[in-house]
Amino acid sequence: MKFKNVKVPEGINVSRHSPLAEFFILSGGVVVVFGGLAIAALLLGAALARHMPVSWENALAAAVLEDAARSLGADVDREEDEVAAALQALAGRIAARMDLPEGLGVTVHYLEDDQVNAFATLGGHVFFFRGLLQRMPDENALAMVMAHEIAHVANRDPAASLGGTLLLQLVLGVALGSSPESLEKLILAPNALLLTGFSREAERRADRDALAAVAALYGHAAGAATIFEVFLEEAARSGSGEPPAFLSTHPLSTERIAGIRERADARGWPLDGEVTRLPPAIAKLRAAP
Amino acid sequence: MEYLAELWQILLVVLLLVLGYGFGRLAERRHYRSILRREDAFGDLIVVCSKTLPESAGAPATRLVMGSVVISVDYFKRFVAHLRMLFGGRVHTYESLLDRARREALLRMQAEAKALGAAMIFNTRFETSSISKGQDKSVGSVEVLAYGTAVIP
Repeated sequence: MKFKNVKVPEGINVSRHSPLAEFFILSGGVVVVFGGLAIAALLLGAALARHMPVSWENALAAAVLEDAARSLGADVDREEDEVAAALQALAGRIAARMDLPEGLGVTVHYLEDDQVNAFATLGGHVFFFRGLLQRMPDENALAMVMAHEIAHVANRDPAASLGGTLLLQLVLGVALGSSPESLEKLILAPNALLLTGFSREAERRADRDALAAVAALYGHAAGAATIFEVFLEEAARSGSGEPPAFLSTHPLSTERIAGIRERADARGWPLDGEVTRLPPAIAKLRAAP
Repeated sequence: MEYLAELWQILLVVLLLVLGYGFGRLAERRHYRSILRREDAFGDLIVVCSKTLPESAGAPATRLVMGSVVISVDYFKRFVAHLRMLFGGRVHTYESLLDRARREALLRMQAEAKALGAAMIFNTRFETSSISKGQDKSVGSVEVLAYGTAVIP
């Protein structure tokens, strides 16, 4: 037997490939697949939740609301509070012009905090912060905000948001559990964009429904854009401005103002008109230090 | 501004990937150059995996010789390997890693044999083991051991 060393031939045990190409193709694949799954989960969860019986939503709201409201500084049972009463009266007038589902009523709560904000949650519970009320010059502006929140309730947006994110978390949890940890960022990356995009669409819809309700109630759309002008002022005052649209749960205020003008023009609702004065209980807040 | 924190984390991952890719390729190319050079130099030291010496060899002195090397995976290679684990298929990025490790181990074994004055190495075997598991239970570094019987005339 003769032995001889030969030069090792290259390229047999190592295949020719481009690691960068492989990286981009596979990463793209992950983003597309998991992004697709995320979209599907979000949409399906939201759609299913919107069809949840109103009684379920009310029961859920009752269960979580008391703790949540208390931590926010609101007393859920303080119905005799005159600001809350005034807000509730306004809500009643607006809700009559909107298409609320059977069994879903609007309950307005007043929070003594300087935040310039208002939000709607499950069971038709809507919360208004003092900071926002203090910056409302007239009832029309306030009515627009109220109508926007009631529109969320009418569209079952709080329930849809809950259902959508729940199913999304479930699907992503399974996806993450079966994948190596280093890919966590890649899988979760499209997540934030999807959620905020979904939220912005709901906000636009609520804006549209609110404008219609306000126009029906007053006969014109004066003061409808006030709240967004206030947001712009607040953003300018804080120095940082509004976050970029694609990362934000709400459309840019400038977009919302433009949207109102466009829609009012299209539907023939005048943007000028006699504004109604604020209810006395709320007007008093503006004078308070 | 919570999205800023998320953004920084993503940028960190991208930075690690770029560093891993850059330094990984640099190290690999240098290593291959060194391997090719030494394989030429050790060309006269025969290495086979036959179990027995031929009759004609007589009764020479024999010694166990070993060569081992530990090579680590860089961040980029590991990331791509994980992507492969999701979709399946050949993990190309690890191929070159193991090829280098095997050839390096072989060369180190030959170096030891040459130092002993051997002319040939019989019954060459390889052993591969993973040394450290990464944080996410993936392979951190690989040790390849080549061992055989050196025949000293």
